[in-house]
Amino acid sequence: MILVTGGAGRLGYEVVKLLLQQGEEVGVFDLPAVNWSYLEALKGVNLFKGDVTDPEQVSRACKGVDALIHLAAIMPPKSEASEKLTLNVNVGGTRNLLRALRRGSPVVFASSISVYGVTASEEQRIGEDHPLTAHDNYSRSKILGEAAVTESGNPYTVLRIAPITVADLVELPPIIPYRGEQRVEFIFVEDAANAIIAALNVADDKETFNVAGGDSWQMLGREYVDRLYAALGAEVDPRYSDENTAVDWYDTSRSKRLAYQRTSFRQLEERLKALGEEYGLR
Amino acid sequence: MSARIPAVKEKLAGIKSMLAAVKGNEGYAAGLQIRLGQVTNVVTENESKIWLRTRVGEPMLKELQAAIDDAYKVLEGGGSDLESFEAALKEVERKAAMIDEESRRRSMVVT
Repeated sequence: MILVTGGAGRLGYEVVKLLLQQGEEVGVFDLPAVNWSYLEALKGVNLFKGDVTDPEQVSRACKGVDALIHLAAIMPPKSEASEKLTLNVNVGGTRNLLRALRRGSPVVFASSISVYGVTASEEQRIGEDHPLTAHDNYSRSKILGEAAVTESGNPYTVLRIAPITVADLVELPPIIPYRGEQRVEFIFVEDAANAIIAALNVADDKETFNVAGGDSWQMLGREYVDRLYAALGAEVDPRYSDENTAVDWYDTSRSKRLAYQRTSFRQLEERLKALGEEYGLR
Repeated sequence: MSARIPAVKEKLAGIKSMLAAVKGNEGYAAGLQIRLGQVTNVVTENESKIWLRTRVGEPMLKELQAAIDDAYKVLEGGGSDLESFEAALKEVERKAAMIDEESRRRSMVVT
């Protein structure tokens, strides 16, 4: 069985769907309070409702697990409210899983491009060898989480995943967490899920990859927001961060071997246009 | 903003006034007012959401409006059956929670 932690989230759900399509036996471990209805509708998924900070619950969920896809994490902005809680969940939870996992079982760890810190002054796209900078609770927790995985002795793939986009009507936050003039690169959720599945097959290589949308997704923050909402047909009045944040353009040449970049930004726009019509916005 | 929102807020304010005027069971009515205030907060926090004025959001808002109308009718004309009102309020809270959950699901995610 392949266990997907955080499997009830948007990315997790896509991963679970792909695994089921491949005929895999899938388990999902996520908090009892999250919305399980989408997973329950999939049928045939082993559901474990629990908390990664609880070693006993983790141990129960890891029985009979052959491989782990670890997505569960506290994410921004919630991660910035408490360093202790964020480290407890994102690092302590990772260690609990690694301890409970059968030795030699492959692990895919969902890290984040935020581990590179704020890189706005760099001219080159950010590659995997760029120094890591813990600039907030979340990035610190992901750097420590990566270390826990790479030092565990298990086969692993660490994926530093760019911010994720879905083909859905997503509400803008009061302040968009990047500058309008900042370089940004997102990734479509289905492509991120493809990367995760492919990563499982190369875990013996023990590598770390950037996972981002690719050339067609590299633009400035303002263009990204404008194009998304223009495609939907929704008028928005975005307010951007005054400061550069930890989003940039990424060198994904190394991760090309995972063959996950299947959706161009133009294709996302087409899907959003269709959705805008369905919703009556266009 | 959906065209329904002003009517929804007006009805909620009307219920609040009627609860404030209840005599003889003020403590119970005050508790219900607090719960009604939480529903009002959900409406206020979500009123500018794009999804709420789409073909997905409008039916949910319509259901909330119908539940509020039902709750209003319990107290209308000086009615003081607070237990019946509380039952109606539970349905209002359920509809409001569905809207809140949908908004949360649609909040922008950054990894």
